[in-house]
Amino acid sequence: MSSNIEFLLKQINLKLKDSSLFYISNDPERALGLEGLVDSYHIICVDDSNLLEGLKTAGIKYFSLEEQTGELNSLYRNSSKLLLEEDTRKYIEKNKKALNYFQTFKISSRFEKLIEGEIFDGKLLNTNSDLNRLFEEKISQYKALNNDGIQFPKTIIGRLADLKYKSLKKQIGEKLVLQFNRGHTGQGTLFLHREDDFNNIQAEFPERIVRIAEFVNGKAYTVNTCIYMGNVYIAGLSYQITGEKGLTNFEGGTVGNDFNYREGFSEQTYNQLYTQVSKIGERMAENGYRGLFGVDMILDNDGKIFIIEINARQPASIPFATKLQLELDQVPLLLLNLMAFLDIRENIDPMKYFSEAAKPIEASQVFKRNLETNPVIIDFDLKTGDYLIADKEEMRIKFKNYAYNISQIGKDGLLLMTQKKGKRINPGNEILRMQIRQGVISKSGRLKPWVAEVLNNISD
Amino acid sequence: MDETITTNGKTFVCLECKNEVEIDDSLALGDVIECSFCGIEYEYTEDSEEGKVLKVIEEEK
Repeated sequence: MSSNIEFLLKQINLKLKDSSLFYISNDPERALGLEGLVDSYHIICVDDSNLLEGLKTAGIKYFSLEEQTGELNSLYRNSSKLLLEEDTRKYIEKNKKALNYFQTFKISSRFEKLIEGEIFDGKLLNTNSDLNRLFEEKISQYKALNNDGIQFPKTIIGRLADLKYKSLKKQIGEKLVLQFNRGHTGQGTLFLHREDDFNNIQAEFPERIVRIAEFVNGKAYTVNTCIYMGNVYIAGLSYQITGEKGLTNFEGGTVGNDFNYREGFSEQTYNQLYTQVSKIGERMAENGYRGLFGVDMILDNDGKIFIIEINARQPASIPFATKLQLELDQVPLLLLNLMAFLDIRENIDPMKYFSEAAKPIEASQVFKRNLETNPVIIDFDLKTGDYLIADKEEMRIKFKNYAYNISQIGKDGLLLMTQKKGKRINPGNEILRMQIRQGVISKSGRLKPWVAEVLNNISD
Repeated sequence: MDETITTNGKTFVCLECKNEVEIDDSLALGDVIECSFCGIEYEYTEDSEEGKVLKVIEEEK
């Protein structure tokens, strides 16, 4: 680890002296990244995950409600509900100090109230829920950011009953993408291939306000971003693996990230990306936003970037990207996020930061989601850990060691994150995750077949 | 800001999709229900003079 990162960690640990920092989430994976480096860090989660074995071995402080009660699937998976559980409160009570900080994956007003007085007298290290909603929800984010040269695809917002397919096509383009203000389990984005698709949605939700945009043909990328001291820091640029049949049922469903694939990128593309994402961040910062967020974009065939979505919370790839950044001696965005909320001030040049952090990294992660329309119960027992491919013809894997993050995996190994046998997985949610130290995308932008084969062999 | 709605008899209008959703008689305080049209979830948090108060649950994944 570089002396710079050590110095920053020292400041954080000094600031957190006589404090505890609790990260509250459904899945303990969301809380990974700086565990083991921040002294007073506790992971509090719902899931009794196979990942906990690795945490235990590494001496990471955690509490899992399901592990504690010995009961899977009994609690509705929600951080606020988790906080209300007696066992959770007892753990926090036992481990609290003079000052107590809380973080979560996605903030809500209810969570805020519980932390800031209703149950705990804690301090939140998240952006507030009003700002989260303003920039997270599809309609308000577009309204708030559609200016200053931010390149969105041609877009129309309206009540479905008031919209006409032919007129939309005339105004926007041949192929349309519809987004609801918020969706559930990946169903918030729909591709309208024909008039019937539109008519069916219109008939089902005539009063619903939607955002309809031109479908931009190109490659989907995503970046992680952090607003720290009013500046915008960008890292974790990855190709967004979407719509892979067999891993998701949704055309726009994300099933992973490849941090190495940069097809179509030139120096001009990096500059354009930096300018676009910085503008978004600056606009958010003007509204008081601090900390992490993600930006999804399409790089079209002419080299132009179109912003398609903002995720105004911790991006899902942050735990993985943090481990990769630490290995490369880059200051992780997650560290900047913590510094932003703890008011630790350092001068870091955003442009220099980006030029280093945007470089390709030989690493990828791929998920397999529940493809059914109903919840499924995991019916196989497989450890989370370091695996090797034992049979290259059949694509069968063999367990080597317990591990829970990519830094514990060698060049030829793969980290498999599995669910506990008996765990209920809702439609669209993750059944399996694989992390490896190589790119998984072929030149055409599709997932290399062996990757899906490994995941499908396990879960089928 | 909390996003809450109050039921009107045995129905409520979903905040997201504006469709009218029927609720089951067995709904108890603390239960989670989802809009049968768009899937947005609500928690039955309290009773008011007007009806049952339902609070939107933010999706966390």
